[in-house]
Amino acid sequence: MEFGIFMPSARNGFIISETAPQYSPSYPLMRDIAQAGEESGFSFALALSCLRGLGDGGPTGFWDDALEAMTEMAALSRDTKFMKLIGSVNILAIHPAIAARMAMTIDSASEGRFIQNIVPGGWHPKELEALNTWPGYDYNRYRWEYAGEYCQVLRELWETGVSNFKGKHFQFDDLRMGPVAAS
Amino acid sequence: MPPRKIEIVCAGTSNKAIEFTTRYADYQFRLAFGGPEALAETMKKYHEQIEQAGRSIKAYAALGVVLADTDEQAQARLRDFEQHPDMSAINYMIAQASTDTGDQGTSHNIVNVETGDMVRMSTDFIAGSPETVARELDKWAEIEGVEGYMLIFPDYVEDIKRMGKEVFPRMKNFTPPTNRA
Repeated sequence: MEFGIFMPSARNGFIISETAPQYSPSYPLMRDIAQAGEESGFSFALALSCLRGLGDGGPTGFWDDALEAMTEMAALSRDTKFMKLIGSVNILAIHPAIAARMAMTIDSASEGRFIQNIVPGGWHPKELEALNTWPGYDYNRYRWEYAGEYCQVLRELWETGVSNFKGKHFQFDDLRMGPVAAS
Repeated sequence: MPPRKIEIVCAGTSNKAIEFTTRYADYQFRLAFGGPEALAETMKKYHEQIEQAGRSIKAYAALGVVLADTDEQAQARLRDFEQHPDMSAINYMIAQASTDTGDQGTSHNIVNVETGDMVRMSTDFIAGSPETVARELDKWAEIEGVEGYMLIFPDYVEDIKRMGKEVFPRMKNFTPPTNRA
């Protein structure tokens, strides 16, 4: 069984308590964690997508400070040697063509160690409402269909360099991206 | 070196999420909650769906670890976290998650969840000495279909180093990184 690290890229990690360690994320901390991980036998690390805190004015400011996952993994690509790096995108906030290109770039920077986490969103609507990208609460009924189309666009760009995808939620004409991934 | 295939992972536990995963993703990510038996049950049900889809999909599960010199110290520390919740954050999270009324959506999952569970974000935690943590992780490691456990710690750098020195060497089911350069 392999072990990985759920990176505390958002303030206080994953323990919502006044007596847990109180700390905000910084890249140097993420680097120290990942490097300790490689030295200690961990095989992978995941950085979550958090675009808004849950702190709500409370005593711990939970998740009010958060790094961005893809750029965090891009940097960790150069500060780690062999861990698999899993970066996240919120599909309501990031265009699939941008996600595809960022992933390809991190894959290049890490020499093939990148895995893409897809976050449909929905359990924290305010995160996207504040960005003016929340389509409404009806999204919760079709978010996996939306995510499915998003992934098809990602795969077409990664594997063939072009997408002419025509779906319910995404439609593209001659959308291109190089270089193409080896299969 | 030419770019290579990029794999996709997603989290989500509803039937629609699992259907999505079997069609479009290579890995599923979930929170371990309800003990190893509950996860084993879920993995079994999940395995049936994967077989139908004719694909091979592995799961990552998140799990928390509180390490201390003794079991009592570790359990006391975890209890202390649970007894001092940040209720502003927890109430905000519950209110937001309640809006997710999609079939088997988050609002469905947070009913009957206690405050201690909310402190841990509905994730199981192991609290103990290195020997206890090693023994417990060995149990979790026996669950079929789980590719790896993604660990949560209170003090990441210190706890990760302690895992490497005192927990992994005591385990039967620990696999070191297979993709070392």
